[in-house]
Amino acid sequence: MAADLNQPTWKKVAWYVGLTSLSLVVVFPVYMALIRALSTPVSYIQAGQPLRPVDIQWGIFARAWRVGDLGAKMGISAVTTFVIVAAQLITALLAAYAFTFLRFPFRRVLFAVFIATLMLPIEVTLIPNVQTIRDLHWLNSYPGLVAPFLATAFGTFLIRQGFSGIPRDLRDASQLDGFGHLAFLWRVAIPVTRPVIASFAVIAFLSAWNQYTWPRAVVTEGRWETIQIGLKSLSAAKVEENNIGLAAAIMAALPILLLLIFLQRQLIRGLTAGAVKG
Amino acid sequence: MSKVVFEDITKRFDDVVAVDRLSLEVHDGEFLVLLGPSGCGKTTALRMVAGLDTITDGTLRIGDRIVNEIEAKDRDISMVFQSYALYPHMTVAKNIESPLLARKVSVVGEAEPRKLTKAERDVQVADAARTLGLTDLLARKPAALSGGQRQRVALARAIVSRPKAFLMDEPLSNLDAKLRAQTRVELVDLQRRLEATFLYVTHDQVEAMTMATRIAIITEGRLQQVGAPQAVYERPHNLFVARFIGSPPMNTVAGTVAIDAGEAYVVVGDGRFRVDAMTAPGDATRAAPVDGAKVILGVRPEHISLESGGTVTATITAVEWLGHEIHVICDLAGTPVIVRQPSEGSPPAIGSTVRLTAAPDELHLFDPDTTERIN
Amino acid sequence: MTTPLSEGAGVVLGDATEPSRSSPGRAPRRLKHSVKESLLAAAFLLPSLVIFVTFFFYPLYRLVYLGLHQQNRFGTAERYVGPSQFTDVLSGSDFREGLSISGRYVLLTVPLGLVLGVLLAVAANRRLRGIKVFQTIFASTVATSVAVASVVFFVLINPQVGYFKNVGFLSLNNPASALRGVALSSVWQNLGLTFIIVLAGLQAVPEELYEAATLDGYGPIRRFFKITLPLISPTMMFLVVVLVVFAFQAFAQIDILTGGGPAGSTQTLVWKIFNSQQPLDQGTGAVMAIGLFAITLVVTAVQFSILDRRVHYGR
Repeated sequence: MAADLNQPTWKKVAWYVGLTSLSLVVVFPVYMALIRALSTPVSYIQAGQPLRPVDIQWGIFARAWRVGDLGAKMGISAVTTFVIVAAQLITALLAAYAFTFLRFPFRRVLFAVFIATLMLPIEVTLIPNVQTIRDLHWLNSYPGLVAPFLATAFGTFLIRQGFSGIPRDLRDASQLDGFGHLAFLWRVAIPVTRPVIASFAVIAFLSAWNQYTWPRAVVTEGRWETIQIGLKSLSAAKVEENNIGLAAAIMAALPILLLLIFLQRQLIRGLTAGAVKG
Repeated sequence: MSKVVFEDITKRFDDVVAVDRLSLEVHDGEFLVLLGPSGCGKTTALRMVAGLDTITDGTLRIGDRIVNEIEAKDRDISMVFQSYALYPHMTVAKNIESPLLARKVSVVGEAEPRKLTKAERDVQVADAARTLGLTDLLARKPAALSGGQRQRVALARAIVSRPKAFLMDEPLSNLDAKLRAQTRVELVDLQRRLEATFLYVTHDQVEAMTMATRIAIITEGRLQQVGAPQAVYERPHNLFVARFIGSPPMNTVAGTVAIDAGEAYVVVGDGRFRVDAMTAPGDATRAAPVDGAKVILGVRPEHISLESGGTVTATITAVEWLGHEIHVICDLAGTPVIVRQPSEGSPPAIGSTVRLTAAPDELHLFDPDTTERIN
Repeated sequence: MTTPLSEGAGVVLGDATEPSRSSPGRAPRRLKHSVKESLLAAAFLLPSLVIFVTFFFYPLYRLVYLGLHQQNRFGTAERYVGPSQFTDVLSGSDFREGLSISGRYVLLTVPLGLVLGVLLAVAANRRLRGIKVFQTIFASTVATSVAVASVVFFVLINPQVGYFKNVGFLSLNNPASALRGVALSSVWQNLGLTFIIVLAGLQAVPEELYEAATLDGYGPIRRFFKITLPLISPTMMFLVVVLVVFAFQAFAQIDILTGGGPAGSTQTLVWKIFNSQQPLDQGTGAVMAIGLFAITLVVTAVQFSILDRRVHYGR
């Protein structure tokens, strides 16, 4: 929208006011969560639920960490997330390479197979998949938490798009230089498409860290809860202790918030892939 | 250095024949330019030499070796691409080094080709960089280089492995005009210094004329003519070559043969040009065309002039002043004809009628059906 | 070619000897090439395919199998009941209720989410000092997972101590309004994603079009409807499809905020499927899962065809 800096001041002020109001609305739930996390619950209610914290307990985050065993839960989440992201990167890179640079029979059929998986989310395949995990004795275990997510059609397509953008001349030059497929993949294809790969990695991280439905289904023991599942049990606590649940929720969101701040470009690129052309 | 020999090379993509029975020898140490319009098959021919495209039929030799089935990296050639194909994430030094990483090279004094050690590679890279004036740029990445510099990196990468032949796919087309002219000179100089065999593809006939020791003109996958620039310019073997080489292009007009008192003439428009005896090149058995036969007459703009004593009439339709010369465009019986004139003196006015004259030994005659030269 | 080289760890590169190596025959070499390539492709695709077969396609088969059978309480025995189970379940009240609730959920979350997202994106798509700060704030809810968003929102709509506990419109205690309360948490959570995507779409619209429109006398409203909206329509279409699919998959927010209640008023399809994991229920659960799958397919396909006609690609 063309609104250049030569606008009259009153208009600019109006926009700032408007934008700030909208920001306040967006931030309001988090703000309320924060002040309630910091407040002593009973005091807060007695004070009539004001818009500022009451009887602040600065140690609430440390207490939530202890009471909710958040360290362990974050650990579980961290391991599963890293395993999933690493596995997805590897499988997607290899599959994307095959679809872009290799010629083989049934290529189109196999591509369709990949596409088909996009229509089968974990919510649909839940019952049989949980049964499979149960049969493999993988309930309450890392394999059980990560198994269905080790490959990704979305990632394959995203990276394939990146690979297709590599100029054909570059491929020819590599061929003349004597690079075989693996050498080309490692030395040229991956470094040249690093931005796309990074974007996908960020999205994969986001998605894996925030998972709820699958962990909820395959975890029955408290000590195997991921941080997201842990939030449910922590927030179901009594009203007198809902500050713990809130503190835990805020801490659970921190890693992704850090992603948003430091890797914003990659995050946005990954999210908008497919939505915007060019 | 080696020769490159095409023996009846054909390339088919499904139903399309891209290269049709090409037979050509690129001599050791020569600068041969494959010249032709876009899509004529010259790049395909080049890629077959490189090993980037498979050969459908025919035999390809580099040196004395048949290389049809040999992989690109083992053919001991290198290629400079139109877009330079530099690895954007690697420094100049690493780009130049890359052919030496996975390829085996022949070392003087050793029987079998082998890969070089890191120290040996560094020496070769430094050497190639020095030859192309890139020593100060070795740590930079391609994005930080100008177009001309990138091209030199591509060249350095090509020479570093001391290949038997250099293949070039329109390497100058991404440069601006001034840089192009300068680089043409440098390329010829480089080839001479390296005493290398260059096989160069372009659609620009100026590049071909100024750089080549021989030009091979190709269209629709078929070789039209091969020869030194001057030979091709002065004696084109067919209409295509005649029209493709030369800027501005040769004038071609349809005419009829007339034999009069033992002299041969070609009648065009309302007049006629006298021509020398007509025979097909190298074919003494073919009888000279008879009186009344149709021919196509070709004459270069610098070989035709406006003179009051001229034998053919034309009307001036446009005059282009280029500074160093004038192009007078006339209409000769419906066909446009360009005449080059020095820029002194005043050109005749547009719309005026003039008479054209041309010396018989500067006239080219072509058969209208076969388009072959007949004189 | 022997070009003088520098001294040092120098080797002279050139044609030392010329072993004349001609190739044996043509056909074998070419065949070897493509077989090698196919094997490599197989190796590269295998890991993904193993996962896909095990966790996507085999389950699809299993769902059909389960849907045709009925198990006992312990899963130790099963009997074939046939396609009638499909018709029974899909036409049964349980499934239809779940479908209706899921459908309501879609209607509650998608339109509102889109409008708000567009509003935020349009507001933040201008050149003002510090606009990036606002953009980061508007995008911030993308950092929340469904679980986090639900817990945070619970603060507001908790029937006992929520800030808005007296807002009957959103009360989680009332079957009529509980779904709305949950939906609001989703709308809020999706704001960030919607904002990011719409903003990207807006930024792809060339400035010159707005300038030309302004010269033609278009006011801001007209510019929005005649230029902005049509040109971001591919983006919007993508977003609609994504949000609808998300809404059909709603589970975590229900699990945390209402546990399916009150009185089953928030039992979406996925919630029902999740709670059909016991052997006794697996048959019906499987049918519902297949129903969900089919509905998602149909809805997505319908959306593509309807919206595709109205989408404006290019100029």
